[in-house]
This record gives sequence, C-alpha cells and structure tokens, in this order.
Amino acid sequence: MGNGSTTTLALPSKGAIADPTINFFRDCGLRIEKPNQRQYTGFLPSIPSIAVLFQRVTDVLYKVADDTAQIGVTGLDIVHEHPHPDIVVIHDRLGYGYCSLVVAVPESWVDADNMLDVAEIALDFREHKRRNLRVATKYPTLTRQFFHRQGIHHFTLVNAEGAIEAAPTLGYADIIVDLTQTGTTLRENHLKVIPDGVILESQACLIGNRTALMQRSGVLRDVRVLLEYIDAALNGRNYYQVTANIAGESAQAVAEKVALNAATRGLQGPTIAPIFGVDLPPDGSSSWFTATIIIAAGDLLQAIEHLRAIGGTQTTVTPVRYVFLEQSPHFVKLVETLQRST
Amino acid sequence: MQRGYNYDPEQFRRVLAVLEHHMGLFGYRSFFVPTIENADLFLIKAGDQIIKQLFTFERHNQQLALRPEFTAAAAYYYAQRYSDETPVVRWRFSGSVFEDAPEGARERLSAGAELIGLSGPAADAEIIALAAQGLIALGLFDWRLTIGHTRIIRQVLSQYAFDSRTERFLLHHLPILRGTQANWEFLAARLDAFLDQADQSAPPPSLLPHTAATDEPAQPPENSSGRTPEDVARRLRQKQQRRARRDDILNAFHELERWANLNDDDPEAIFNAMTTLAGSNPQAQTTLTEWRQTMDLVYAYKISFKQIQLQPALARSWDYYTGIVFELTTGDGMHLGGGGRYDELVQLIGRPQPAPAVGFAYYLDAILSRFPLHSDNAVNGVMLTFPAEQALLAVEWAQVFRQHGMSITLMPEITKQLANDLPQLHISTDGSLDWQGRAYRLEQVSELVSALNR
Repeated sequence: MGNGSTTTLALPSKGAIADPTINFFRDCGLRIEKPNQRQYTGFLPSIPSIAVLFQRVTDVLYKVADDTAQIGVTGLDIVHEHPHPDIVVIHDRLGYGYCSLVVAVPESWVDADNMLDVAEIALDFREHKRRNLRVATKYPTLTRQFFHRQGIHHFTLVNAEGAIEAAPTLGYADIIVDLTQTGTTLRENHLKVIPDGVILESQACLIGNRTALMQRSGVLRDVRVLLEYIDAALNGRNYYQVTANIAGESAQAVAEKVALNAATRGLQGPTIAPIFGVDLPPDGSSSWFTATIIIAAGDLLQAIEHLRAIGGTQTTVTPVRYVFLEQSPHFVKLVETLQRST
Repeated sequence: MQRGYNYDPEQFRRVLAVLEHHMGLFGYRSFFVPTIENADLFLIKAGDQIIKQLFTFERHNQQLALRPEFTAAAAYYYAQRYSDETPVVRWRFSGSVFEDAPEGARERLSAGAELIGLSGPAADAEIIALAAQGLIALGLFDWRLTIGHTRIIRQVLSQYAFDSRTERFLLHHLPILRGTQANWEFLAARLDAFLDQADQSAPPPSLLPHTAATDEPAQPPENSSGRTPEDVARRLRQKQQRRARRDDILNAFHELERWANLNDDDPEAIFNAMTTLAGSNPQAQTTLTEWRQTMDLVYAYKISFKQIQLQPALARSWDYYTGIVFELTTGDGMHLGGGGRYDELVQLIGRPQPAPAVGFAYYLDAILSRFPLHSDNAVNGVMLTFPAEQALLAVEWAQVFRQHGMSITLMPEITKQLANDLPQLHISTDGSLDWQGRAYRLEQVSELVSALNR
C-alpha cells in the first residue's frame, strides 16, 4: 500500500471508535467503501488517490510511524501513551470517541477523595504493609508520568490485558488507571473515579507521518483535501440555516429588524429576498420577505423567539452541511508545524 | 552528557586499586550491577529525591534508567537470589553512575560496599570503619565523619502518634530547625498551609460512624484490595484529627529543634545530652545504647574520636534509611562519601521477608579532586625515540624492557608529542641506547633497567 502516488489512510478496524470513524467520514462527505468485509483494505470514492487500510487502533499509530500508512485515525490516548518522533497530530478533535483516562479506586476506600489521599495511601502501603501500591493499567507511560507529577513515587505498575476493572477484585492490583466513557463499568465493578485523577481527556484524532508529509507533495495535497472536508463539516455542525417569512415596508427595514438581535445577525448579515406571492399588489411590490440567516447552533431557540417577535412566520431550520472558511485552519496549522520541524 | 574528565585516568585506577584492595581485606567481594535497569527499581528506593535526577529513557515499552547508584541493584539481586534464606553477603562495587541534571546529564564515578543480612552494632561499625579507613589507605587524612541516626528521631516522634504524612512534614523541615535561630514564622506558615491542604481532603464527619470498629470481626468488603476497614477508619480519623493537632505539631517541632541543635565536639557529651532528651522514651534509650556500642566498635577500628561528630538529626533520606547514617566530608565541606542502614529496601523490592542491610558509597570524583592532576602522558617508565629505519630494533628494545617489567613508550622521531616527564632514550646509529653517559647494547638491558630505576 502507499506507492508513490497513493496516500494510505489507516483506520481502526474494531473497537469503540471503528464504526464511529466510518460514520464520521460519511458525515464529512467522504464515504468509505470496503469491497470485501473479510479484507483489511478499502477506498474513498471521492478521493481516488487515498487508499484505506484497516488496522487495530494501536496498530494505526505504528503503521503511520513506519510509513506503511501516511495518515491515520486513532485515539489521543494512544498517541500520548506511545510518543513517536515521526508522528504529528494533524487534527486533535474529530469530535467523537470521547473517553477519559482516569484513576479509579475501590469504592470502599471512603477516605480517598483526591490524589493527595492516594499519595498518602501509597505511603501507607509502604510504611505499614511494606509493599508498593499496585496500579493495574494498559497505559504505563501516562500513568507513571501522572503519578510522579502528583508526588506519588512509590507504586508498582501491573501490566494488565483484558478486564482491568476486575484487577482489584481478583487481588492482583489495588487501584486501576483505565479509560472510561460514562463510568458505568467502573461503578458496576465497585470502583470510583478520583475527581482530580483525570489523566487525559481523549477523543479520535487524525495523525500523520511527519517525513511523508514533508517530503511527498501528494500526501500533503491529499491531507489538505481531507482537512478541507473535515474542518468544513465540523464547522457546519455548529450552525443552522434558518429562513423565516417576515412582513415589512422594505428589504432594508426587515433586515434592520432581523439584525436587532445578536443571535440573528448571521455570519455577515441576513439575506433578505422579496416573496412573490399569489396576492401581489397591482404595482408588483411585496410586503413579505424571506430572511435567510446562518445561526450558531447554541443560539437557535433565541433566534426563533426573536424572529417570532418581529413577526416572523413559517420558520424553517436546516442543518448546515459545510462551512468553508478562507482556508482549512488545521491545514494552516499543519504547515506551520512542519515548517518548524525543518 | 557532560564531557571530558577533570581527573587523571591513571590516578583513578590507582585509587580504585587501593580501595578495592582495602575492601578486599575486610572480605568484600566484587559485585557487578547492570548499567541499565528498570527505572522502577531506583524509584522504589528513594522516589522523591531521585525522580528529578534519574536518567530515564524508553525502549520496547519499558521505562529504563542509567543507574544512579549501586545499592538498589544489589538489594534486587539479593532479593532474587535469596528468597528463602537470609545469608550474610559482603559485596563491593565500582563504576560510573548517572544523573540527569537541569544543566545536562552527568556521569560520575562511585565505589562502595554493601553488607546485607547482618544487623546490629558490629555490622554498622564495620561499614563505617570500612568507609573511613579507605580514605586513610588513600593517604587522605583531612576529613570528618558525621554520624546520625534516623531511628532515634522517628522514635522521638512516635510518642506523638502522628500519621505518616505529618511525620514526613516534620522531618522534611528538620534542616530549618538547625542554627541559632529557627524561622518560626516561616514554619508556622508552612504548617498552616499543610493543615489547610489536609482540611480540603478530609471527609465529612458523617462517614466516620460507618467505619467505627464493631464487636464483630471485620471482614474485608469486596474490592477493598489490600486495605481493611480498619486501615480506612484509621486514616479517616487521622485526616479529621490533623487540624486539631496543630499545637502538638508545633511542640514536636520544638522538640526536634533541641535534637537538631545538639552540638559538641565530644561524642560523649552528645550521648549524655541525647540520653537526657530521650527521657523516659524506652525505645529511644535502647537505640542510644546500641549506638554507643556501635561507636565503641568504631573507636576499636582506631578511628579517632577527634574526627567524629555525632549529629542525631543528620538529614539523609528519611524514606530510605532506617538506622545509623553517616557522611564523610573534608575540612572545607566537600562530600567524599556516605551511607547508612536500610533494613526495608530488600523487602520493598519484592522479597517476602525483610533482610537487614547497611552500606556506603564514595563520591570518587570528589576524592580524585584531592589528588594533584598529572599530565596526559603521565606513565611510569621511559620513552624511546627512534628514526624510521631503526623501527625493528626499537621494537626489540621495547620487548626486552617489558620483559624486565618496565613500561616503555615508542615514539617515532617525526612525531610531535606532548610534553611529559618520562626519561627519554634514543636509539643511536649503532643500535645502542645512551643513558647518563654510558651506551647500553640490547644484551645489557637488565643493567640499563637497574640504572633507570636508581
């Protein structure tokens, strides 16, 4: 894969972010086709120069690091746990796959409310039980760094594959550091999250091979195309297009009424168009206008109420598919990052 | 990595040979430890001090470190090899140790010894004497031996029954108590900050009744994992009570101040003062008795009491040392070495049973700096210069010199050489060597060597 003219995109083949990744690309207008479900390859019909390689979520990072794939989607937790000089994070917020890497202790430890308590308990183990606090985790690097920053130096990491949450019950660890989305699995295993024990907030991210991006213009070009779609689609999620019919003396008058509220000022201003209805006055003038505005998603209800207040009616709302800015901000940032690398 | 050496490599070899011979006379055998180890091994020993200086790197998903010292590896090897028995081992070591300082990584030289499996005054005295007499063997006499005892200080604090965090807070601030005027305002502010921190983490009182001891035997609830309800309850009570014990903590500071400022050149006077301060603390009195026995044995090793200062609150790592601690310093305050007893390390590293241990290390860079620096070409022996056409004969001369045990350096005439203080010989056209007006032929090499050695 990844000959001179093809850019290979590695995507997770299984796990929590596998299906959401496919859905994400689809929602960005970049449908991914997998001709044979038993194989690990696919393609993007909209960008023929990109080939898709499906891998386990950790292997995505390794494939990008060794240039088998030039770009890939994995979790930020994977990237931080396995730092690699050849990996550059192109987009750190794809907006899905949210989870947190947390410190969790048995719920029976009612004396443990924060990391200061965990630090004291670690000392307790050393002084009274003559052994280190055992921490089960699949993230030894992040766990070690976090514990040392918290002033906890006396602990033993227990490498655990499989159900980490069961480690305290089974007795081969005292506490755990693990990923959680809702905390439900932890609670069901009688564990509680330490509030200031959140090591990392993770989500899906797009990574790239630094050398490939710097040396192969085709790869950088393909990444720019991807980022244009991704940035525009993510921007679009923040907006709605709202149209409302409003009566007024003139387009100017209607525009002024619409713009009275900050929520209805739109990206640059409302678009006002006359409605040519069936009951036009003899001179052809219209007393009804359609106002079209782009509203920030969080302001929708406020916008609707204002439009109603100024006489708006038959208000329709449609989601915005894309909002393209002058340039993809993440591509601009990537280029700056690569330039700093030289 | 800091590059270049400010000591003479030949001098280093001589110093090391003397120290190894000296330690060999006490029965200490060479012990080799890996240069690269799992970082956790060193962090287990003394995490707080070492974490900022540990030279770590990651390979194959493991965090590794360049050894900062030898003791942790010695304890680990002992724990691995002797899991069921506790034999007495005497190991000596030497080599490079590494630290990662803000100004750059550093490689230093260290040598020392570990005595594992033996507790008591005799073992402590042996290690102290081994360290001090090593300096004498090197011809260094301008040094002071300062001896402290971490157990005494902990026993003094034990009467207050503080939790371990409060005790660590007190010990951490011990150096501030030394001197003519401790900064009590600063200490009080630090104490209040410490207690405020504790307040934030204290649970609401409503939780306490649920964890009170009952008449029924306590059963560890599911997922208590290594902590019993009594552990949890004890800690909850400590958290609640910490703020209430502000005055007790200040009283403990005042008591520690008295111990920290014991100062007399006469060790006997210090012992008498400590006995008075220890009062009716039976554990402290027992430890003082043991300490006296140790000192009697140290004097038996002919280490003059004039070179010894007792300082009960000598601040070496409180987390690590469990008994006697000591430091060797020059008259102008340079640290030459130090050590002490560390009875808990072997068990912490993973052995089910504890094993008593005591040891020390020399800071060889400091020791070597006390010796004059020789030139780069400083070797014993002679230098033989020769014209190119006499190269074969020069080699023959060199062979016979070396057979007679004399070091000889060959230098072709055209080579530029560094200035050195070696006697210079030159091959004449007839193949002979001239020395002090007499010509020597190859078969007269033994006479020439004798003449050179005069």
